[in-house]
Amino acid sequence: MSSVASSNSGQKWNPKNLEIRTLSVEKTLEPLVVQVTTLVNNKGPSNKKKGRSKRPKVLVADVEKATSLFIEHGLEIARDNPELKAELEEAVEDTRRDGEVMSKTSHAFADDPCSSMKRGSMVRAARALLSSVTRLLILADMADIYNLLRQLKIARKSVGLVKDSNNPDDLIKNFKAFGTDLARLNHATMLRQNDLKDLRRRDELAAARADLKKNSMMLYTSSLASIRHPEVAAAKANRDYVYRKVLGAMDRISTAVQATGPSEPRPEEGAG
Amino acid sequence: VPSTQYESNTATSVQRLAEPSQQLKKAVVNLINYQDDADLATKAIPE
Repeated sequence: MSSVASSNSGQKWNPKNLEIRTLSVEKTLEPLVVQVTTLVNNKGPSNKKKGRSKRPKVLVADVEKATSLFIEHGLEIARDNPELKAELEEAVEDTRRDGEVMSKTSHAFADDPCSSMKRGSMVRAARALLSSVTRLLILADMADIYNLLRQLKIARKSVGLVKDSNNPDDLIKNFKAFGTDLARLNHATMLRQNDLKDLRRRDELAAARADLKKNSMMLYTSSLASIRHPEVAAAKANRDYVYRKVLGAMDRISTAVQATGPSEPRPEEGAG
Repeated sequence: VPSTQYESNTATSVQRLAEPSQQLKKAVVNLINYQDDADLATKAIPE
């Protein structure tokens, strides 16, 4: 499984990598990508119905307003995600810069709409602007992954409390709290699993989630046995074994959600 | 398409950017297509 060197936020991804990993990001970007392609390939007039445009200055104002709204949302997301703040702010700054170029070239075009040269400059600026939008959307997806990892961290902390429980009452209390964290994590990972484009990554996440669920249930019974029979070394060893399995499943979830690049085929997928 | 949403009542970062990005795209497309109308107007007006 490939992953990239860690970013400032300490995660295994590279914010410069513009890989689209989920269906929801792909769906949001799809029209943009198609549009960028159209801008590149479009040599002649569009199929759009003619004579329905607003005045050019109004259209320029619409672009400026939409850019400003997008930047505003980008900054909000940067504020809400301190771990990725630097990367998000950099992407917002790129969008702002590309937006300014777009604004300048569009005003020139609006003053002389029959000039193909001015339209060409504006189209180039539009491509750059839409690329910045793409980058910010991908970073937003990384911010969503970070939130998932934060939930994983919470669940990891609460499972530690389950393992360290000294009496049945503590165990029940700690296991209940762990159950709540686990349910939240399970819901988050289920949505991520359904959203992943790469089918192998989906399988990896599904298997890790199943392992986590199965071993979490066993952790309660093995911990209870260990508390009730402190003199039996095997009971403690059994609890520790299950605990390690729970942590292992959590590590696999963490790896699966952060994985980048194309997945490698598994041995069972080979010919024969 | 289900999105990567962690709380049922909280929008994800991607969801929060989806609408503004579509609005921006639409505004850019409208502006780029304006030349067709400008060309049409030029042809319609006699010398």
